[in-house]
Amino acid sequence: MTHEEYQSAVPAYLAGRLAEEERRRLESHLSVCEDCEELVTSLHVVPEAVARHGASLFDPHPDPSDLRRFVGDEPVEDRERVRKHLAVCVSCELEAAGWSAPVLHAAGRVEGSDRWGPVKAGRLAAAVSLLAAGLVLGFLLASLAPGRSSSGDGPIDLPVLDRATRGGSAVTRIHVRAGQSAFVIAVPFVAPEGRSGTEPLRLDILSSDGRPIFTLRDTAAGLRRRADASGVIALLIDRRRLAPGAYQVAISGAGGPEDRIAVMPFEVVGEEPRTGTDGTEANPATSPND
Amino acid sequence: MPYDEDSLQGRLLAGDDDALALVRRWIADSLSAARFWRLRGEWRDLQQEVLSRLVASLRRERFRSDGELKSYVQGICRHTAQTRLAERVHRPVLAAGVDPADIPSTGDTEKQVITDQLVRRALEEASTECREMIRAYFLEELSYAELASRFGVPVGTAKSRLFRCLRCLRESIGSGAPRPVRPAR
Repeated sequence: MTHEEYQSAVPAYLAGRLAEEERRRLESHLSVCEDCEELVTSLHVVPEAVARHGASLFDPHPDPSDLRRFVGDEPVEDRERVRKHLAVCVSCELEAAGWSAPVLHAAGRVEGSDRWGPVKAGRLAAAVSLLAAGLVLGFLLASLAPGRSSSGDGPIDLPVLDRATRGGSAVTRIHVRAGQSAFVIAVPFVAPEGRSGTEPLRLDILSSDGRPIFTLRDTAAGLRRRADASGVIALLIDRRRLAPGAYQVAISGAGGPEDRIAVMPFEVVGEEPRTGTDGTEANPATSPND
Repeated sequence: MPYDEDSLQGRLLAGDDDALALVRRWIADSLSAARFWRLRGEWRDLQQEVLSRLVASLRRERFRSDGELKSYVQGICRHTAQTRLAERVHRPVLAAGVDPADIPSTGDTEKQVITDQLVRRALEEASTECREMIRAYFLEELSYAELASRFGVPVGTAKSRLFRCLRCLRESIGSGAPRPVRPAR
């Protein structure tokens, strides 16, 4: 057999469809032909991947909006296809994780969150996404007074919660538009006095009845690192996970509610997350505290 | 309003879900490129970091409306991921607070995930005919004669086209695929 003939037998060899005698001859050739051996070595992953994933390997990516709806447990034309695709496509898995991760914060330990794994529809109804500190907010903070929220000058509002003073009662109201998928709040981080940087702290988002919705655990120094130059920690909130109502951001020592350092109440005002139809709100801008 | 409200960037700033979905797609595509596989355990964080940088940039109108937003997003992705890679030189891989369970293993399963993703991407980049040929031969297990009949070409042509397709696939898979140890000669 010529080199070209051996090469043309490579696909059948990879597919395991060569007769015994042909297979042995090709393998004998592979041991002396670097080109063919390189080809086989590089391509053996193809039939292996096909065997593992079948037709899903060849399927196109689902539409980005379909993927979002899949994660949000909204109607999708072919839910099963999306599910199978996520099992084989790492980039779509990452994309889905972006929609589903309850807390999206660097190196944070979060209670109530899933580890990164297969998307579980139905477990995504409640969520808060904490954004990595580093969102530069200083230029906006200059115009803010304590206890007031920012209206900003663009379509995204940046409410800054009341200063973290013990017993502070001002409530920051956050108006969300229908169709708005996320909003950002800024939590001023007050370093606990007399406590070392290595002391464990927790930042909770609590419902009106004090039930922790999500908890971020870190040391005092770690939380400080998450704050930007203006001393605030930016939290990106997935509005589907916080229905309109009253909430608190609480910073506590390791002892939890018994060891509370600061409480910052806020209220989400607006329509329920949309369920497929868009609506509009008369005054979408964030208003000062009422 | 810094941008036209109908533009993609305007819709993104206004919290439009579909615009955000598209941007998330670009970010995920960029971060899951073979050259950033070493960062896989940090992809989710990087994804959010990129998104926050993008929003901050758009709010400051750093993106010119006559540019292509996709390229702009990809640029932020590359910069963010490369910065993170560079930081790894100066800090331990396992930073305090990181759950070891979140760090992907480096064993066979991880290798498998990587190679499967490389194959998937290579198939995406292949021509429709090549993708269909490879699918027909390896998944549907058609013979060369059946392949020839489906694609309306002689058997010899089907054979050589399949071989050429596999060669192209090998180029796409490139050097990113973990190679098995070569047997000693």
